[in-house]
Amino acid sequence: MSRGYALLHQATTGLRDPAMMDTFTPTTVSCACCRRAWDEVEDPGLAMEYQYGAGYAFESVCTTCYTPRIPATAMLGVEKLARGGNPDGGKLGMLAGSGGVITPAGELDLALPQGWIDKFQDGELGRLGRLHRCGAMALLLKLHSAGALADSHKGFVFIENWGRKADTLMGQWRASFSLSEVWCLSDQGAEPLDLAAMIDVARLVHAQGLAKKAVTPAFWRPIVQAAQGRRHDASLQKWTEALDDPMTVLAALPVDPHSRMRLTPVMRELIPLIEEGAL
Amino acid sequence: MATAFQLRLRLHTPVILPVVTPRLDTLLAEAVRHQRLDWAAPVDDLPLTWDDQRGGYRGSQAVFGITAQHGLVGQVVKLPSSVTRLPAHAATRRNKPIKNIKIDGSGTAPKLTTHHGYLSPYLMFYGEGDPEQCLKLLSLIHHVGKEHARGQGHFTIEAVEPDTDEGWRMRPWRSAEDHASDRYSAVPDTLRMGLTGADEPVYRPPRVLKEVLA
Repeated sequence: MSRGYALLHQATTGLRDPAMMDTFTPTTVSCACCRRAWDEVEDPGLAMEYQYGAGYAFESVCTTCYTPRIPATAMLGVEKLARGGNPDGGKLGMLAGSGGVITPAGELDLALPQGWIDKFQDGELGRLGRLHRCGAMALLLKLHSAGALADSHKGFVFIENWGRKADTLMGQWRASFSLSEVWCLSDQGAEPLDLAAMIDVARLVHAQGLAKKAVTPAFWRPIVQAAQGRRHDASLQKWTEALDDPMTVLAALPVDPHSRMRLTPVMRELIPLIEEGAL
Repeated sequence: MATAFQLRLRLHTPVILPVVTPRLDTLLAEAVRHQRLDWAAPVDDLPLTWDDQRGGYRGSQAVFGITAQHGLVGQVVKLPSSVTRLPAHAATRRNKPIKNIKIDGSGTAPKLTTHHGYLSPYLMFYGEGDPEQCLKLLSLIHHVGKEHARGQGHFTIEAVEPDTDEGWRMRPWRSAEDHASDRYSAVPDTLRMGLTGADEPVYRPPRVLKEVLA
């Protein structure tokens, strides 16, 4: 479970340097966010003070869990000018709607909308070319195609949405070790996705000439409804008749019904990459 | 004498899987703790065969049993977060004492947590050991998985039958070769330090396994 935290810690070392002056020796049993004991965290015995808001008590969190809350002026750039004209650095924990990937080598790549790419292009990540104008899933697949996840058994981290609630994001932070079980992290929690099966299904439907239909919700509706417990035999029969080789596609579908419920949005990311020849 | 068996449970409410899918040996260990009313002492006398070579009990993880009419269904289960944390939240709000407790997720009230539940007609476990003793212990437990105190994962014991396919292999092992490779592709999991100091993955089945029953 600590591999995910270790990867984030490794990828954001420079971000924490200025903030490390504010560490102290904790008196609690464990980090208030990830609940790991103080000898298990990446900077053993070093805590940082966090307060949810005015009137709330101060909590002790480990340096890794505090990382999304630190203004990353050098790594990202200036997000806005606060009162008095002071520059406010962008924080990883406030990139709502954006995603990211930490590769097994410990390098962070971010998937951002154009507005943020324009804002953060002069930061360290921007200069290294690690800001990408695409969705989080597309970034993961792009890095996979480029071979950046070749050592996936050493662990990588996929952040589907940084969101705004760093507590929930960091509390359920974990690494993935295979494309068969990619943990999609967000500020709503962590959910697994069988991306390897999804890629197989996308290749099969593309080979059967159904690429255009496979990105529409109507195509996958019988499968999604069956996964939700609303099975219609007539619709499923019609669906099998639309495919040249339905049994192969059915066998390739992910076993997890919650992964099946995400077929349409994931196919929308995968099919264009297959058509480009990137997957 | 140890025999290989398949334990079939009738599943009544969706199972919310923890990060690590429940295994037969962990369920039996919980039952033993119920029996002894001792939650701290280690349990090392389960009625399952201990595999010396592989370093684990021969008991599989949970496998969802489906039929031709009823498959494996995913259900979104929304439950209020644990209210026992409220006093802790109250203690953190020094200047603003709680006056109204709301269910809609305000700063200190309990909020709805979304869980992914899995429902199938049956839940199976495979093992090698004493099936009668395993049945006796399992009769002490009625739920499996997360939020069991709120009725999730409710099961009743249906049948125990002999198993000839070494289904007990469907659990984490250090080596990928130790798995029932014809039923699934082993997934690399958490890293462990090998003898040379390099990290090596532990291989396990996918979290969700299903099997078609006649």
